[in-house]
Amino acid sequence: MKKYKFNRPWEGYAFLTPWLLGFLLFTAIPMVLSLYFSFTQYDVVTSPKWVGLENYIELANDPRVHKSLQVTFTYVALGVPFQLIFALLLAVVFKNNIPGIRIYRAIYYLPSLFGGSVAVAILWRQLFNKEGAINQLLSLVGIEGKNWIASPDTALYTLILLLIWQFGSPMVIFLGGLKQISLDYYEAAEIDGASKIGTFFHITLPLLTPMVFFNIVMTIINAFQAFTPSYIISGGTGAPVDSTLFYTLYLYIKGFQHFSMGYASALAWVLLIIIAIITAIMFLLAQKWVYYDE
Amino acid sequence: MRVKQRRKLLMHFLIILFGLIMIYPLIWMLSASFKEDVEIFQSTSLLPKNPTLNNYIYGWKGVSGVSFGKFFINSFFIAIVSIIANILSCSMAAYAFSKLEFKFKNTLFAIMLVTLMLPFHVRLIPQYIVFSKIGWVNTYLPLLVPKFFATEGFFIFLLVQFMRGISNELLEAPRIDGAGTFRIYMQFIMPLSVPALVTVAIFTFIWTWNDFFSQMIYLSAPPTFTVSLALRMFVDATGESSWGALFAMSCLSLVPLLFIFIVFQRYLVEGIMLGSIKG
Amino acid sequence: MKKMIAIILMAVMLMSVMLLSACGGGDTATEPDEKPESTGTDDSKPAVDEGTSVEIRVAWWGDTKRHELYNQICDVFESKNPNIKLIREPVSWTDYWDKLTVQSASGGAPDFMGMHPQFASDYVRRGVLEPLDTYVKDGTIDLSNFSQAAIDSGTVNGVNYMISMGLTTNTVLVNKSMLEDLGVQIPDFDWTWDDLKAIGSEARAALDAKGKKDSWLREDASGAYQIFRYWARQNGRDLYTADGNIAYTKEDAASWFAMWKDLRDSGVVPDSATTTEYSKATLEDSLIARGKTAMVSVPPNQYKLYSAALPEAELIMVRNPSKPDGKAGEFVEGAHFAISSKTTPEKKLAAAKLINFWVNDEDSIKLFRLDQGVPANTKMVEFLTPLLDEQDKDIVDYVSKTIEIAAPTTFPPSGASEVDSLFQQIAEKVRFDQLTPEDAGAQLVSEAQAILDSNKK
Repeated sequence: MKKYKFNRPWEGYAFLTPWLLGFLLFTAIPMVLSLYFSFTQYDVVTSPKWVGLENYIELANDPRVHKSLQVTFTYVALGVPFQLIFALLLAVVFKNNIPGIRIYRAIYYLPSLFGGSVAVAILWRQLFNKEGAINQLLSLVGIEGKNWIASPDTALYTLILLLIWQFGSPMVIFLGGLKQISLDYYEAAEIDGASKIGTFFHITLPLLTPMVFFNIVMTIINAFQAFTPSYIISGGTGAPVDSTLFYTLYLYIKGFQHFSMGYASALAWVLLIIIAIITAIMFLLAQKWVYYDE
Repeated sequence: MRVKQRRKLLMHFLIILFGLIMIYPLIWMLSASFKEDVEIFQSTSLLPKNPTLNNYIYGWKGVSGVSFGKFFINSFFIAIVSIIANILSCSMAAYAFSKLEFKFKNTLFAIMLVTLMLPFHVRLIPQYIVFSKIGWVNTYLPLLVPKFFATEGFFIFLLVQFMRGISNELLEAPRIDGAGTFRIYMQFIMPLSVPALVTVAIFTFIWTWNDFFSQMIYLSAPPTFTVSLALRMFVDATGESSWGALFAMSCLSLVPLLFIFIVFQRYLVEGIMLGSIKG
Repeated sequence: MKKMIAIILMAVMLMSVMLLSACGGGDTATEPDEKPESTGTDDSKPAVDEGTSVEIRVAWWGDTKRHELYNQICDVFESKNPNIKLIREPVSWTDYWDKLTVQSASGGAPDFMGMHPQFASDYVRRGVLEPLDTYVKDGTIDLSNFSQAAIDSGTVNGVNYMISMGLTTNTVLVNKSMLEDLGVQIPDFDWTWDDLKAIGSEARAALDAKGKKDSWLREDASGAYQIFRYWARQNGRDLYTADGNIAYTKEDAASWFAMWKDLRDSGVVPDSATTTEYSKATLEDSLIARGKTAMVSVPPNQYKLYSAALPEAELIMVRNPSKPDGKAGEFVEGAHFAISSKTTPEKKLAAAKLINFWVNDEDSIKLFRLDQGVPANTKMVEFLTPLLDEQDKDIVDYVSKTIEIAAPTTFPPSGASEVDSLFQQIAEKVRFDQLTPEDAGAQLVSEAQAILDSNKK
């Protein structure tokens, strides 16, 4: 496929101008300032005091940082794959024009409309507490359930379920990507007598890889920064015993509740570096498996 | 034939059953919105003992003398402006990143991605200081103006992925006919990207509708409150929370979201007829 | 082509400008940094022209009913002071503090704001609050009918930063009907921790006999730093020394955690998971409101709210348990009003007037009533008493009885809110058996002291 070059060099920048301006005005300044804060002791109210690498050294030895990294990595490693597989499966089912499809799509999308509303916290408790719906179901088959949401060994998994439950966004993106695949491919496959599963793996999936890649990258970036689920369900503490202490929740506790914004900024930049490395690896690997039908 | 039909029925049955499990919490909330406050936490039944509309009536009265209708209008205003802003600014940036050639393209794209990786809470304070210096606090400006400058990298990246899938050969014909970069953007890229742009619109709507942290920080006066802010006012850790009103208004606040989704999913999934362009 | 691109860019800019004029012209824009900061405790009060009109931002936390109530008070104030316009910023508890943190960063704290003891030290000691002595001296804020304890509660290092919204202490709310049903002894007004254990064992037996495994005598307060403060004070100590160090010993803390572990193991208080589940529950959703416990430690001014949540039960108020030969744990609590130090002299004066109106004016008090506790102005208590119902009178009664016993306490140093959350964390680890009470005591004292030390830097 030949490379498509048709614009004058400045036209690229012209289309990029809003973004460039926005980056300089609204993004770059806060980012640079937060980088500066990360080398200071800054209690939000009085002016920052330069402390060099102190915050970074302190966080390397902070057991709650280690714990929160462990919690966050577990959340990402378990939540993201399940959410995406679930979203992809349902997108494939919902692509077809079966009767009632619009209602079905809407029903399955409903949980994602909720976001991090305060109501979610209470709903999740109604499901997973001692007398919650889950335990009532379990008791029908004679199992005595536990207090899922408040036990240190299960609390995080209820939050992972919450992430999977709100799978609507990646599903919608998959649906958009599926739509983009030209019908010609399917017609050709049908003529060749390919099976449904074969068509999925040899046509649908390869052509969907740009969207799969997008969903993987963005879901991982967002899951690393997950804050709201634990904030609303643990009441902002990471309870029980830090088992739901997401990295950004700890950052929030330090910055907003303990007035250590310098330390919080250092935490933020460490997370940025972690996410950046993972994203860079994903982009490198992408050259091997993402297929652009250009 | 018989077997096929039975399998179809089974599929519908499974979809519905699983769907009901998925939305059980929402059914619970809907039922709670018709319960009296005292009953909400003291009974586990899904059926209200004495169904009442009081929660809706009380909730609609709103907060601090401002009715919920006003909050809906405010939320709609923010959501609609954000949609226009995001579609315009993000599609321009995405077009540049996906179809145009210029120096430092990859570097700039990488920078764009990196801006998505810094946790929101540490950006918040510097941002607040900047916006308060220019006197934008307590207005919608901090929530809206940045969106005209493509600050939502998620959407840029999404549109880039989508636009890369638009065949270059398809764009070559108009190019030979003398169409400029801008005309290609307006007449080919934008129409072909409709499914992705609808995705951007739906997500922008949902996310701004549900966003609370930045709205909470920048908006203080009740007449400027949005739905998501007003909902938070019903729950207070130190006093008496109005759970019934919270659930009632949460149900109402889902209606526009659901409506938007149902209306726009057509464009999203079914796309539009592009035959004329494809030829 | 150039033209076309220029047109889009223009359009984008134009839209932003339109927005600017559409929303920027709103009446609530504020310019937090418009005037130089005031100079601390300087006695020379700038001359302020009383005639010009001034707008001040008024912020408080609370539920929807409180928002209505405070709006009414603000309306009355505005009608009496036509030159002062109050821009109200009502918000719920959690959001209030997040917001104040961010606002303080740019000197944009509300001109008039509520302050709670849990966070007050962090703001007082960082200079966010205006010293009020000048306003007290010149009579703008009249404290002549305030008791010394009420004035002291807002005084830090001899400087008055905050005016009490109302005085309160802490009580154990007892669901008498539930205990009677169980046939369990009802605690006296004065009772001890041993009594708690004894009544708890009785209750456990009675609850088990009824098959109520998921009910207990009371909630687990091992993580409540304010109740631990009672324990420390009963041992003759306190949370903090006057010079900002930890005032209790590791033995004080260890014995506290050990006592609660014992109560938990014997089923007087709920298991650890249940406690965690309900630790952030709102009032209506709490263990006692759900009828799962018969007692809870709360500020007495919430008596009415709990009574409303439990309409069929009779609730009574007793003191927190004490030690047979120990000192009284009670101390004066309650929220305060404060003024931002970063605002203009005109606005400060207007805010001071509002404070004075709020706590000293009959028109305000007859609305405000016991919302934040018993009014600190004793004349206002006399004025209010005939207007009160039985439950209100019980509250006033309880607060005045316990305030009589209350002894002075020290104001927390900065870093106190971090120590508070450390305490909760350690208590939680003990509940989940990840720490022994003994280790917990030692760890608490050393880590808490470290937090205070790092805040002194």
